[in-house]
Amino acid sequence: MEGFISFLLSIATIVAIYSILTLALNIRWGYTGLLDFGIAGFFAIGAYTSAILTSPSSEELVFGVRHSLGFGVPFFGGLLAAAAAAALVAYLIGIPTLRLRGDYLAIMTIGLSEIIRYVAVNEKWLTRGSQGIRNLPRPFSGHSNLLDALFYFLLVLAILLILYLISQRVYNSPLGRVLKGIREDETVTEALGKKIFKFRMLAFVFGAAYAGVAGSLWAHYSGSIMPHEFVPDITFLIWVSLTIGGSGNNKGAILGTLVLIGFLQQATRFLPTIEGYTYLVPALRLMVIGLLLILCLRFRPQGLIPEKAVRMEKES
Amino acid sequence: MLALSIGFGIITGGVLALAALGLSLLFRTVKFINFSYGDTLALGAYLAVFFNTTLGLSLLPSALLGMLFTGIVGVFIHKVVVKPLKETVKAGPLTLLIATMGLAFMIRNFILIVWGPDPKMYNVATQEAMKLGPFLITPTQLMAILISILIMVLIYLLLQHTKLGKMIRATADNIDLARIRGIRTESVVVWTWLISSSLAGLAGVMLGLLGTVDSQMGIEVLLVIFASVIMGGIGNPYGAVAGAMIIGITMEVSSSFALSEYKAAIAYLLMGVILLLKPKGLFTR
Repeated sequence: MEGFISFLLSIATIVAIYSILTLALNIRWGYTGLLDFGIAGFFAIGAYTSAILTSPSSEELVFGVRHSLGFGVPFFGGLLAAAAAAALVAYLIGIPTLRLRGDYLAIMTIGLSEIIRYVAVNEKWLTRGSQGIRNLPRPFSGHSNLLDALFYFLLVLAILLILYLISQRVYNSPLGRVLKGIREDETVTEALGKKIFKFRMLAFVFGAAYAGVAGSLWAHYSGSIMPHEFVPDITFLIWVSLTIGGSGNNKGAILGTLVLIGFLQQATRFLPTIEGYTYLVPALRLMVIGLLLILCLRFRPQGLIPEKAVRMEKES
Repeated sequence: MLALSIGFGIITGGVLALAALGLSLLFRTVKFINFSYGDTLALGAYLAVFFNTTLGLSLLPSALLGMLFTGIVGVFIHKVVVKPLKETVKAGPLTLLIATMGLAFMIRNFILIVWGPDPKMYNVATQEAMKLGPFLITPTQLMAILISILIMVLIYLLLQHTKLGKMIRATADNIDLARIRGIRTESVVVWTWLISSSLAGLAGVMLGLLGTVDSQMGIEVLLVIFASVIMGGIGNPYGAVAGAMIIGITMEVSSSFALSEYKAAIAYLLMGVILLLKPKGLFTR
């Protein structure tokens, strides 16, 4: 019984963290139409920033090199720094890339997320390479395992709720209308006097901050992070989540994540693995998810919860 | 040392050029970026592994069969995924790009399921490198570069001097106008998918010969091919070839300066700079 509850709690926590990533993509793609394939990169930046800052400071011998890692910053400091670092990197990357056409942006962002991962693999002095950073502290811990898991889930849920409310507020605000305007027709929006580049940058940085928060929450949930956790597969899963759920709709984004990550990705963890063929189930799962994406685009492009059509002022 | 890396850069660039040429040709006609192109290339490499090591055929027929089947896979992608999406839900270029990302993951994981995670190699005897001027080159590498050049010349002749080539170029320029003039644009599009995907398959076999065949090669090489294509000006096949040579040489030379971990990153930075300075590519007038 206790095992089952902690299994459910772990799935719920993972779904909540990924939901934040899907909300991030929704701001970029769903609202603004930025074809962003770099979510995994900003997720990684958030995770590593938080991990490096919150690790207790210590002198250690890693790969024969004595180096210090960690600043012992409290959890919430790491969380805020993760959001800020991801936003800063997004701003710097955005300057050259956000002027590009949609499909160029996709290529640049997937490349940049891979470069971020190469940095995490190779700059061992900073990230400990493929060994990863371990023993990350988790807030509100020190009770029984179950209570710790519950507290952390509630924390993640609260943060998800806050970010969801902010997203909703933005969606219905004048800012949200400009972003949707850019998505639908850049030329018209520009002709109305809106500075396209500025608003695209805003959406890009905003999404990055969300992904950074998710990264930090992920790092402290799993307790250790390694570069191979931030492969483009993450970006792909988030894209499929948003597409299934309903691009442009925040409720859809969360529902899509629940369906894809909760039911397809995590709940199939108990499937038996065949000795010597551990890659089989994950690979099969990703194949099915790829198929699901294509079927969804073909038969239900608006997703499970479609974006609400804009209410027109009285037409006469 | 420098000559060695330039030499290997030319070989890598020549092979990349085949793939870049294929992607560029496809983009010119279908007007969207095929994200499954890298994994199509990997599939070609694996199919040739199957013919070569499992069925025991020699390398050349294996490569040709791999190329043929990859071409058919390309046509299949067009018929089963792209065309229905275009016709039923009026999918635009960005939606098609997302759909091909789904395909990319399907192909990559299909490869993983069938062939497993361990890298594969072709059944070729180990060879002595020959000296060719300042360069060192193995017979296989020499073969690879010669075949690349041959294929590129053939594609050039096809595009410039045959009726099919003319129809491909006309369809790429303006598909509606081409249709009005009586060109069967649908069959031209099918031919383009066939040619471009078989080029990917061949490039996959050659990359496998230069290194190893592994299930992640698709995504890795895709990024480098993109860089080449964008450098040459997207939709400009000859520019893509030149872009691939520049990228190939830059990657190999930079990796001789102890930067080998960042080989792909350097290709990317180069692309970023080009996009900033000349967003339409190096070779636009």
